[in-house]
Amino acid sequence: MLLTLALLLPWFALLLLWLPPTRRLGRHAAASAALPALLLALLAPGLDATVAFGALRFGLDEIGRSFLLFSSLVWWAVGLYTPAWMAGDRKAQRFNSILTLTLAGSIGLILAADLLTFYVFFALASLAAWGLVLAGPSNDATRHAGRTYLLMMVIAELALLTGIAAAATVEGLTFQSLTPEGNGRLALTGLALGFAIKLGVLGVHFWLPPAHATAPIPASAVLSGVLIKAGLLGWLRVAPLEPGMLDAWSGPLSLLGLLAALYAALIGLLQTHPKRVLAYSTVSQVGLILLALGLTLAAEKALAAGSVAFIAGHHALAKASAFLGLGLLMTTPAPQRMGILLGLGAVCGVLIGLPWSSGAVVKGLLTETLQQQEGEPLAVWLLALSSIATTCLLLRFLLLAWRLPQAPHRAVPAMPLLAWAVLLAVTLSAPFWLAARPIAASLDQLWPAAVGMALAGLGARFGALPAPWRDGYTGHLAVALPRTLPRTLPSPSTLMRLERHLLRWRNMGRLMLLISLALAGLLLLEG
Amino acid sequence: MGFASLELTLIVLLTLPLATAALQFGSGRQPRSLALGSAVILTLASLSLLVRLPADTPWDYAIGGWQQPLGIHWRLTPVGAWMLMVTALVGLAGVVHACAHFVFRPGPEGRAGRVFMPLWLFAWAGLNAFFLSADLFNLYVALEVLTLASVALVALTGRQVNLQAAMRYLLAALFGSVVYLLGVGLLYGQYGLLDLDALAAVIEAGAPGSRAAAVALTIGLLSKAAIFPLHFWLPAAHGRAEAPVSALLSGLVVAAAFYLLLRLWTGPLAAFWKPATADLLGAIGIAAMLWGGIQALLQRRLKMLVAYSTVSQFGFLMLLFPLGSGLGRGTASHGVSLLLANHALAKAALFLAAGTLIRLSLSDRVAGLTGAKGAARWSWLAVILSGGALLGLPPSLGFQGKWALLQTAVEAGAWGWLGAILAGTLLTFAYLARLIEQALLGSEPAGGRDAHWALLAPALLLASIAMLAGLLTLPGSGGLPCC
Repeated sequence: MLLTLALLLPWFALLLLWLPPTRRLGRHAAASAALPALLLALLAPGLDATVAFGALRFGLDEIGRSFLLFSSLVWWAVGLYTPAWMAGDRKAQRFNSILTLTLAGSIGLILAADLLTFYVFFALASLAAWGLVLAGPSNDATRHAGRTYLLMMVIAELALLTGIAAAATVEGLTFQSLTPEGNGRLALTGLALGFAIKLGVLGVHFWLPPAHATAPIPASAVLSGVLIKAGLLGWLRVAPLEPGMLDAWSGPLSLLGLLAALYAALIGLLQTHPKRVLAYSTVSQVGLILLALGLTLAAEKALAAGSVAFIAGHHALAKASAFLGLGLLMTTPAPQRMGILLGLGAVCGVLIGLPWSSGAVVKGLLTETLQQQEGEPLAVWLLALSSIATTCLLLRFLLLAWRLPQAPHRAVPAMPLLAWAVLLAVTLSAPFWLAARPIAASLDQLWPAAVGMALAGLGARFGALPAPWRDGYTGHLAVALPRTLPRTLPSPSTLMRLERHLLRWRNMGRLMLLISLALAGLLLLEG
Repeated sequence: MGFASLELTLIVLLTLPLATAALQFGSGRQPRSLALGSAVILTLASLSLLVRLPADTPWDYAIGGWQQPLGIHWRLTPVGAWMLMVTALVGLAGVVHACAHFVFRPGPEGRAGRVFMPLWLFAWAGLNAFFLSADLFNLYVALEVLTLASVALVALTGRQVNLQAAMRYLLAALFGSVVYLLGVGLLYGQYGLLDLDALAAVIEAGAPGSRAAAVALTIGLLSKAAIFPLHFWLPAAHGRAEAPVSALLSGLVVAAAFYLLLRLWTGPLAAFWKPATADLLGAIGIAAMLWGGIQALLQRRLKMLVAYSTVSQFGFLMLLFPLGSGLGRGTASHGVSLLLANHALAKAALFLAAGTLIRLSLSDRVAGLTGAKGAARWSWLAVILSGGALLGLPPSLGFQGKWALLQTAVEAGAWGWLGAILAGTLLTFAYLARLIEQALLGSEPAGGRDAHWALLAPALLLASIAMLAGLLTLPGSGGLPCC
């Protein structure tokens, strides 16, 4: 019952939003559209019960429940935050509709119980989020960010579609353990590629910074917090259950994750806008998630899927709090800014891994697991280095956020502040109620953070960005792709001239003759 | 009793549009009510046909009780019934849209509207006859009726560019028909049969006359279906005609030619469906898909973009041949029929919505289109839904069709053709994205914020049906794959 409500309420809210007489009601419905899902995750009645709408199947299991918990929390906070934040904006209605549509897709994919249903809602969420990316200011940067985002999402979709079609020929569309043989290998490859792009894995991540930076604050919170994790959830669902089946990939994946964590943090230091810094921080944290995934693939099943979900949840809550807090900071008059900045500082502390935060739990978990792997001092060192870089990165974020030009004075709207405060409280208290052990960190764990803070202090005092990157560094691919791609194709005028040639009668006649002869010839040969 | 009313339905399907059209040409009074009434009755008739499909299909009906070879036989199959329903939906939507699109005043300004309705009904009659026919010559006659009505519809407004486009279309279509007729003549001369099933039983691959006939039939139909490089007549005709006309042309007329191609190759010409021939046809399809897609990307005007999209989509459908040359023939044909129906609904919706958007933006350039404000919201919603159906996003009919093709490709290990399917989808995403961006980044509507509901509802209805049809478990179409 609650499951059905959680699935249908966003659609109902969308309908109310679109019909003029019920628009007001629709706004309220949209703001609390994630509530049934939240209740479902908290109460979790009848785990493993399934609901079917035609060919679409839904259900709730352990993994789904953990994802639903943090996702619906973030969605609910964003739902309460958005109306007041976008009040007075002419595009508010449209933004609200697209946000609600994305919510419908997001909840649908978390509750999906088979591969096809998952794909349906994954496609919906990704494409609706394109609308979120395009909701920024109507300029070229937005258009460009939208196109890059869409290109990568489309490639991800097609990879997923191929993977699913291959999976269907092997055994059907349940969340089965696909084995890496024959068509199963194609299926796993396609699915892995699609999920990697969605997650923002290093190498195919370059769509993420522009998209998350140009989108409005609530959209960025949702993109970074919840939507990326769809890729993770998908992989956790389809990954081979038998430990050790893909263990050849364990090492490379973990290494890639560590490199991503370090590299993205360093690139993030070269940014000038706090939203871009947060976006690169997301790529870096995704690196940690990738490290965890690599560890789950290891032969001895070093890490459980539940731990990966915890890491994802920690990041989702923290990143969403960061974005929403940044939005408040941008629009608050001077006296209240300090309070919000302190809150943001607390969020950064969580991400850095200060004691008693969920970040500390994550770092501790990863470090312990890595130390148990054979001969991995390099990995531990890389992890420490990435912690240092992340500390610097987030401190830079705080600095840039503080230095943002102030918006015209207006009182802090109550609802967004309340929503943010609740989310912040949940984020800070996550270790205590997420059934993980809160860690009062030892010196062992704290030294990267300390080094990072020292470096950051030095950087703030003496450093300035080098000249070529004074306006922020944009990744190679994001710039080079739109420039080189058109050059590889013939120019538009050539193509149009060619078409005009084709449209002439005598050319048509020649081509028709050619095809007839070819066809006749082949029929003769084969007949 | 049951069969008698079925026969009556079939007769109504053909005679009602013809009678109404003739009446309208004659009297010219009340063009809207008469046409609307017929459209509604025809839609209900098609629906009843679908619902009361006899269990032992295909069901043959000899008109007037005269048997072959003198009499005309009609054959009702599930696919045929579905295509009749799609025709009825598009036809009804077009009539409703035209009621608000054209000006219905006495005198020269109202001529376009007055002439549109009877021509539309003639085309509808041709389509109904086409989907019920079962022998080569009847199919030719139905196609001719359809073509002549379509040509007149293209030339409707009497402007210079429309007349040129219509002339080009007429010559290309007649040329295709003549070549097709040559093929029919060759087959009749060799076997003395015209019925599709009868021919399928006797044609063998060896006879030279049959080979020549196969070539002639295929080339004729490729020309009518505007498969690259024989697409030269389509962009001007579809791009410059009035919105409801383009909807009909792109949605159904071209689809009819391709449908016939499908029927011929799965019927009489099945003996010729061998790997190399199929690969040639598939290669032509890939060229069409890529060329149409690239040209669509380059177009600055909205209706030309959609017209080239038709070229691209039909190229995609040609992938039927290589994918179906092995064991997957049944699945591939099923998938392509779904894609045809999906394309008909989605493309018609797209053209109708495009017409309304052009009217609201007072500009036919993509860059000048209004954003999703006011009444334009509904048209943009129709564009988005029909775009999703064309892309094959679940749960549309297009997804079911594309799924069938993908399964066939994976099972046969045809990685090249699989790549072609993905490339085609990517291109479609590209030009549709360029269009849909305008919904969010466009400006205020220059032509006003309001529009008559008849300009908004038909497109939205068709697009919704195309997009949501997969949610129902439809009898005879297989539903979504996992069930």
